[in-house]
Amino acid sequence: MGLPFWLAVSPLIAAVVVLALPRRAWRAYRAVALAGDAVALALAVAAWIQFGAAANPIHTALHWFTLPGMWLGGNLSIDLTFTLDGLSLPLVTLAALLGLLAAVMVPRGQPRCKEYFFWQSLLVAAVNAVFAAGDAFTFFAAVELALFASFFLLYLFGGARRREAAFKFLIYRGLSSVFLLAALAGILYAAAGAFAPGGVQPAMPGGPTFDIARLAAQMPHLAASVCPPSVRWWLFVAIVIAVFIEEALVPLHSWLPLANEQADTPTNMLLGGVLTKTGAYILLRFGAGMLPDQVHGFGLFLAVMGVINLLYGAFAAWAQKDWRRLIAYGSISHMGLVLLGIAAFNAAGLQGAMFMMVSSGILTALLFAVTGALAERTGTFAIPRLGGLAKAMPNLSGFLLFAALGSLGLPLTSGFISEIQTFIGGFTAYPAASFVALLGVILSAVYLLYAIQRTTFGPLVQAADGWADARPREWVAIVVLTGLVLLIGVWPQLIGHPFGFTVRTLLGIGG
Amino acid sequence: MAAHAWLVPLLPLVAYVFLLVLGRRAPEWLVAGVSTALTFISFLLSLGVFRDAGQPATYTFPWLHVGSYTLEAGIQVTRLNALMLVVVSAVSTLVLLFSKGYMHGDERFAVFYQYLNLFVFSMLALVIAPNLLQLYIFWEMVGLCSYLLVGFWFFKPEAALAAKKSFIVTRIGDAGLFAGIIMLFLASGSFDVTTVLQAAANHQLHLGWISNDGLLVLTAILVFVGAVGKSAQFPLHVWLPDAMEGPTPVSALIHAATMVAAGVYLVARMYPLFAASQAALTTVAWIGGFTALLAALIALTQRDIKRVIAYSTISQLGYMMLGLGVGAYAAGVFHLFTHAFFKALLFLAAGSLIHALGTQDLFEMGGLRRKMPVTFWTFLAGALSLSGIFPFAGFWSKDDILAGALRHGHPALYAIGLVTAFCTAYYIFRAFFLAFAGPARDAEKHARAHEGGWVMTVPLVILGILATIAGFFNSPLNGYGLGKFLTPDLSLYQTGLGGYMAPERADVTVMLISVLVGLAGIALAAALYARPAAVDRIASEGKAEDIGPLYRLSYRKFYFDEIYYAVVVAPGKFIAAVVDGFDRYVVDGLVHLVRRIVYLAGLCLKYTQTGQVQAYGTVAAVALVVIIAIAMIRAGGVF
Repeated sequence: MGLPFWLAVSPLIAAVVVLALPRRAWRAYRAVALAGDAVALALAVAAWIQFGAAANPIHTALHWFTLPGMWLGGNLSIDLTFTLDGLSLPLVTLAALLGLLAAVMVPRGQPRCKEYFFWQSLLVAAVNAVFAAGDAFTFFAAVELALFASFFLLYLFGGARRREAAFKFLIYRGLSSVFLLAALAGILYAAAGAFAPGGVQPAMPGGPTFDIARLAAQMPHLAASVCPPSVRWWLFVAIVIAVFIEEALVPLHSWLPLANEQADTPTNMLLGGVLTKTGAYILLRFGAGMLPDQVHGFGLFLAVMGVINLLYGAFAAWAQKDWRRLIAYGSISHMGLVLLGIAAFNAAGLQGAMFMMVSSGILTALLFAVTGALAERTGTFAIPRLGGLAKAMPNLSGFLLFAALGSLGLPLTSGFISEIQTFIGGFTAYPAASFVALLGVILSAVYLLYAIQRTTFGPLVQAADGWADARPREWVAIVVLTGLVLLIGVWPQLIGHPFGFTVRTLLGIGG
Repeated sequence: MAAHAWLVPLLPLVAYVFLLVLGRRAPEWLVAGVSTALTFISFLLSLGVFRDAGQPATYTFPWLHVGSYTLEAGIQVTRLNALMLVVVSAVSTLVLLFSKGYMHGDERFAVFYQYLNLFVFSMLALVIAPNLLQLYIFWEMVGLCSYLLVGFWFFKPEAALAAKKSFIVTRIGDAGLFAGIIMLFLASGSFDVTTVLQAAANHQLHLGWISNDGLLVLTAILVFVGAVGKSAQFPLHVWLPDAMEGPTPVSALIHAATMVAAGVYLVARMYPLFAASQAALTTVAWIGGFTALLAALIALTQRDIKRVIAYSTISQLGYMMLGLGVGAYAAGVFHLFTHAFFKALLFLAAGSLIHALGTQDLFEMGGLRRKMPVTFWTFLAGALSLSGIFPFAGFWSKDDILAGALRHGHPALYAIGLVTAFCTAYYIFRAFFLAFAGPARDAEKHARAHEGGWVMTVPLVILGILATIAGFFNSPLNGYGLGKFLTPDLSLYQTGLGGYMAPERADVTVMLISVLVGLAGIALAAALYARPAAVDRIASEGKAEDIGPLYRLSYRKFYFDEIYYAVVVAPGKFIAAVVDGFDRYVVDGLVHLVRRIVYLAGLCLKYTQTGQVQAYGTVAAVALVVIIAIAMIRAGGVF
């Protein structure tokens, strides 16, 4: 059993240990959770080294059971497969890192901390598994696990309207799972030749498979006599619906602002940082990877939806009076750019979209961490009730400004390098849509600086008794995320290297 | 030296990091000393780079692979870049020194110097960028530093608003530049400036969805949109006067060296692109001319000394654009060069006044000639230079532009330039007389007034000297040396750029007219504001009495802020509110509706679960009959 397996499983073990521990202090639960997350992160770093310059995908499979005679006498092997390739490596690292930082950010004296750390560790294990999964079965199982773990975090530990938010989240994303399952099963059958017009053909050598690498290698090249275009079309529709819900894209987004508004800070870091990236991941993995002609063919639709999301999110963010809702809409706006990049379906666009997923993940988590820390002191996320915080908390205010500048795509931050690649791709394929998208570049400055001006600038509106600037646990999360934003912004080749391999595979150039 | 040019921006960056690490514990003399010294070394290095500048020298390394393309980072030294290095580092050194006195005692003294150093670094890195991507990166960094410094006194609501405004307005221009750069990259296959310009000059830019000529015009205009934002040209000029909310040394830096100069520099750097499309060049010229006049008209009536100078900056930048647009390349760059000195001087002198009096209102000043002699004489040098009076620096460069407009066949623009010159001389001497002549209008403030220490007066004197003599670098006296130095940059690119070379002979008539117009402006200002008899009239203007509609139009800046609020900001907020409402009530409302329907369906269905076997049996029987009926009908071919 190799490295990717333990990467997903170590937080799971931590979750089980937390459950098994007798009633203990907050400290003990936290130590276990931190250990599990830290091991996962360490393994992710080790995976980078193993991945190396040669870009070797790291693969482990654990056979579970076999469905005999699944298809034309072929057996379907149900495995737990974990593969780290160029696309999943940066994302799984992001997930593991945010998992660890979310555990770090859990405040001292968290009520019902045993349950809290259990669900959180479970969620971290699940999101790690989502990005590390090497077959469709493992992937789907991980998506479902992530859904339930985050549902309980939201349901048990959120704000006043947490139940409403949790159920909305559950219903939406549950619906997404239905479409996802339909799409995944459909792909399995389609690749096996079940939809061949002239009757059933055993198309897949070696029987039907859930293995993503094999599916991705064969699915795009199946002849129309094996997998007719109409089937691909329906599969693509199912994937797009799943992606739009999962990714909180307009008009299927309304679970996200409410969930972000009601969840606590560590959960928001995971929700905004990782869980809202699974949709784009599905679109890249199963859309662009297995149905490239459809993604390409529906590029205009995706590009237009991307621009709509970009502008809708930005305008909606401008009107928000609560930092968490603002961040949620800002994230929707970012994902519009991701959609535009994928729609462009060229090297710059795809790589830009991947960069944007990572960048938006880090920046969203950073924004939640900083605003959460501010709200812990001021007691509110409401922008109209804040003001002049830079006087009382210069460091936290500085980091908030930095996070905002990263989000609006300031050069030498990760936001910029993501944006420019996406736009290069966009202008190549869809110049008109890209021109309209430029409005989003301006609007992101408007809504973020507007909120900054009212939060940290101006005269101090509250009494600042006993407000400490950042505490150690906050320092860790904020400094690490800030450092990453800068690191990727200054040295983009760091994640450009693995992403580049996947991009070339997707486009069928070179490797 | 060119190979070592990377040290020039690096040193201010070192100072920035040093202050970042050292934090607020460092004493003021150390903070200011290190910053000033390192930037001064940068200045000396720039001189070396300038001396050796010749053919473009480029040094790059790979930065990021995108598909099959590799983005690069590095430096490029051209003649223009070398000149910019000298100007930026020279003005910055003096501003850094001056700030020691001006910012003395501010609790965030070290932070202020941090930002200043970052600002200087970004601008220096901008001007030696070898490719458009890197240029854009530092272009934005310059914008960021300006945001931080304009909002340095963030607790003042006006400063917070001004900082935001400056960032967002310039961001609009930046979006244009961003698109222009990407399109140039796609059309030429490279970000490298030389490659792009070669392709543009040879009319080899090509994109599938637009004609080649259209592409040239479009990309040139998009790049110019960026310059319009940064250099505060109409219609994006509204941020610069508000940026006065920053400390005055920041204004000096923004207006002279590090921010607004970037826009003019960009047009000059990309000149072959503009030269390849007449439409773009004409646009540049007319936007420049219009802005020059507009800003001068606004400056006529402002009562805040910094606002007067701010509008003069906008106006002078308009001149530069006009010069570049009519084809007087060297003249435009030359005016950038002289303007950097006399504008920095005017701002620092104004800073000296503000520091001494604690007010920016011209009508609370007066009679300071004897109390602040250094400021008086240096301000006078700056004002004469700005007014274009022989032999001060501004005379040579402004005249160069006006003569260029005539020479290249733009009499209308020449006329606009002359009217602007008249207004310029008038408004700057109005400010001059209000500050220094006549009786003190605020006795208490007047009594307190004094010169700052040597850190403030030395930069003033140096800049005063430069504002007086800098014009000789490009005058008939040295055979238009600067122009001859600069133009070989352009001769790399073919396509009839010969016309943009510097003139060989001076046009004495044009010079004479310019000087007379300038003197007339000064005379009018003296008549209205310097005569003892004018005291009462000034007092009534100071109390804002008896102001006619034209005066009000100028004083209220032609209502641009109000118009933009009504046309852009308010509709934007409205759309945001509509989207938010749509999101809350329509999107979420639909979700609730679906939930209702499901819930109602559940309510209805629950009556089917009565638990009575008879009822189930009835339903089953009826259903069976229906199914059989349908089956029979279908089998019978009825449908």
